[in-house]
Amino acid sequence: MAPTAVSTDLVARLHRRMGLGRRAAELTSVGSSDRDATIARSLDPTIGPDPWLGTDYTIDPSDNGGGRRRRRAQAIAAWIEAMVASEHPSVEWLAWFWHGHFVSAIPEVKNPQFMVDQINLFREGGRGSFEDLTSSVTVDAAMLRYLDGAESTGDAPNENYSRELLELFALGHGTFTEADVAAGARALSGWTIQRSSGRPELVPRRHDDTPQQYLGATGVSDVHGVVRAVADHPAVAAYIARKLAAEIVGPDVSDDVVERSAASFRAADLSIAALLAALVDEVVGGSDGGTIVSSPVLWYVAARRATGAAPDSTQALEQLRGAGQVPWLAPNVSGWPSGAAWNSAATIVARFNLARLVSKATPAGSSALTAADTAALSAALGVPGKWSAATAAALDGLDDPVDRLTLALVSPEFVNC
Amino acid sequence: MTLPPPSAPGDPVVPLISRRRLLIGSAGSLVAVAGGIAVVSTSRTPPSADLSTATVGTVPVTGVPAAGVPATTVPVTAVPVTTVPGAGVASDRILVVLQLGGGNDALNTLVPVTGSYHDARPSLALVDDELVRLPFTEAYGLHPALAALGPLLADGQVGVVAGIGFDQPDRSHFKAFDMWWSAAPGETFRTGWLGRWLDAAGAGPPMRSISLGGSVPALRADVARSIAVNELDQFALLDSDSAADLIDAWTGLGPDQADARSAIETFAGLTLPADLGDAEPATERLLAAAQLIASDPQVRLVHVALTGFDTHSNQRASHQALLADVASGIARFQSAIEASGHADRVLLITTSEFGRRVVENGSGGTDHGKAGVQFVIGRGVTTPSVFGAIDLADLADGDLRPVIDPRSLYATALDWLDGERASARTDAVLGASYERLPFL
Repeated sequence: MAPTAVSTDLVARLHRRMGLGRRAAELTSVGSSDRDATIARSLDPTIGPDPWLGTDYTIDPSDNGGGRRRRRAQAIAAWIEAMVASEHPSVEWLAWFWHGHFVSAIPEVKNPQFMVDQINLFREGGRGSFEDLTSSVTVDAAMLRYLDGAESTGDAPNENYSRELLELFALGHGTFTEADVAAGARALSGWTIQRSSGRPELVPRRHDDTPQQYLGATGVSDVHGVVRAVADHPAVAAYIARKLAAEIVGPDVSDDVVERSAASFRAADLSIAALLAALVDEVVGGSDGGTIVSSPVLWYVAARRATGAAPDSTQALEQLRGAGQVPWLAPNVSGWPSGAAWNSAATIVARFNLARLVSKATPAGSSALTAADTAALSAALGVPGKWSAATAAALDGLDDPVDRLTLALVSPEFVNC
Repeated sequence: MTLPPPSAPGDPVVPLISRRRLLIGSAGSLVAVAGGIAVVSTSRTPPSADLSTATVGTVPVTGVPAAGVPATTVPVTAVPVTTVPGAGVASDRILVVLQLGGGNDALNTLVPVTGSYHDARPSLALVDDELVRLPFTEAYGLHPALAALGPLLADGQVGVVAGIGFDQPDRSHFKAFDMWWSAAPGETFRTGWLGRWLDAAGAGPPMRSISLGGSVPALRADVARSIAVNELDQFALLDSDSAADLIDAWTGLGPDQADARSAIETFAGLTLPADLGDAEPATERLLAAAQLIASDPQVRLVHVALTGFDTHSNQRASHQALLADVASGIARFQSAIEASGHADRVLLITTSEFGRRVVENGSGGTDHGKAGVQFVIGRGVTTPSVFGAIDLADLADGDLRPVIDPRSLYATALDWLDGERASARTDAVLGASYERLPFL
């Protein structure tokens, strides 16, 4: 591959796609020499401090509605702050990815601590074996609540989790039968959440231990049997590879790239770290699946990291709600939309407002505010290459550095990565 | 508002439709009528001159299968129809699509008054005496939470489509949604049915098409854009008075920004009641829709997306609340557009990706099923009835069997929008000519 310019783009792209964007102090140099360090950081397995610092967010029975909402908002804001501050962003980005994949949402889960525990599961197990991660998620308290596993009994199993495990979490539509959904629901029945401890447990009298035929396997009667059959299914590697590739290589990733990275994933016994390494190799080798429109949360985190701004978190969460993306509030079990949905009128307006909050809260000495010209501003924000003529003209027309920063943050060059 | 009386059941000018209705009433299931369905206007005077012709078309029903399954899920070729030249071009009509996301439980929405219903739903069955009665059939009643629809039912403004779904249904939310949004099952999703109508109607102003509750693929078009708003209380610019230069520069970034800015100005005029709670998104969004319709003559399409109908567990309370919000929202919406004088222009339909399983699960809920129930509501409804059927004696894999193709609902709605029966544009948007529902 060609050095220099391509490498500069590559560095910026990997930082934005797998590293939550660079922080202000890191943006002083954008040369090609950063390439190896960027690759290493994109695959950095270091797990930083717990975003919630061990605080217990379990709902207090005495909390009224307002108290519960406050507790929830504090826990969500803490996660965003941890993403903004992280020195090991790869793990935090990956936890965010898994949150949008193995979706649970607070309105159904109710207890913020269950969500905290689930995100920590993603932070700790998000690079390990996909089979292990799926096992953990299947009997995770938040997931048992969100997809009704905690309500499912052997007498009349609830199919919600069983269906989404196959369709959305592991294999994809068209790879399984309705009989598999029903059999999976039986094998997974009986799990519930212990009232006193909040821990998941299997209650044998609620469980149907009849051996099931499931995804071509026989004798499946429990979580391990179900997840083993899923992990053995020929569709799993490409399904997960395609989903991660869309975030790393780009939304229009080619079938060849998916097949190659899926083969690496399969050969490594579904090691997620191996899949990530394969996908980074693809990007470094020039595979290009097109532009990603940053989701509101990842864009907001990147803007905060680049500017050092710390706006009021209540206002920011309100605007993220308007933008259509608040952590823990995915609209449905398939997670958030992507691409054009993030250019809707609502998102565009909320993004402007968030950019306004960020630019006004940016420290006066920040290079994002002191940039002498548009080229310096581009460097300060880690935007590869130049502004488009339209953006440059719009920036040049503004005298106030805060206004210029606002506009730069909502420009296609910063929103897209 | 004085309205002409709704047509009485069994009105002699609509023999075939009333025969269907009688069959529904007597047997609890729809028996197909061979030969065709006469689509006629009835005693109620349609509001616009372009629909005032008496008999406008006959659509043949072909390939009638076993009794109880009308052949309405196959596309049929329309026979020549009477149209009013130019009516579509001049139309100022509005379609409101209310999407009940998650798969609304049809069986607890339109309840068949039979014993097998109670057998299948030991904990979820509704009490017959508490159902909302329908003026046009005793074979079904509505969930008590829909009581707010009473005045509209009494006024003959409600049509009910029973057993609606694609004939290759899918219990996946996302595959089912794709089919409903694209109206092109079996094809890779490219554009939505409403998006294709927008493109076919040509260039339009930004406020022509609005989506409340987030962007929705039904509006995805090759060219046309729609305004999508997630949260009504957040759709405004901060600092709008102190940063005029910046906002001008922002607007210049592209057409999406320019559209958004013009939409913000219209939305700024909304005044929503302060008494609405978090559990009333349908009411909030429909009241906003009514105000947008009253304030902006450019509005032609409003899509309102709701969530929460995926009632796998503890359905009794949640479904009650969801339907109460829907009914209250529709009733207040209709009152608002009556008050503003726009009721004659507006038709509202509901959609949902599927109905739910007939037999309840062990968690007091219901899993994904097949056919559903939808409503067609407005002053344009001249022949209120239940069209199609829920037949618990003829299930498909334990689910309600689809007997009405959703594209019949869409064709009916698009004809309304264009102010033209059997509109060629409707057929082009849907890729074939589908039987129109006999309500309008």
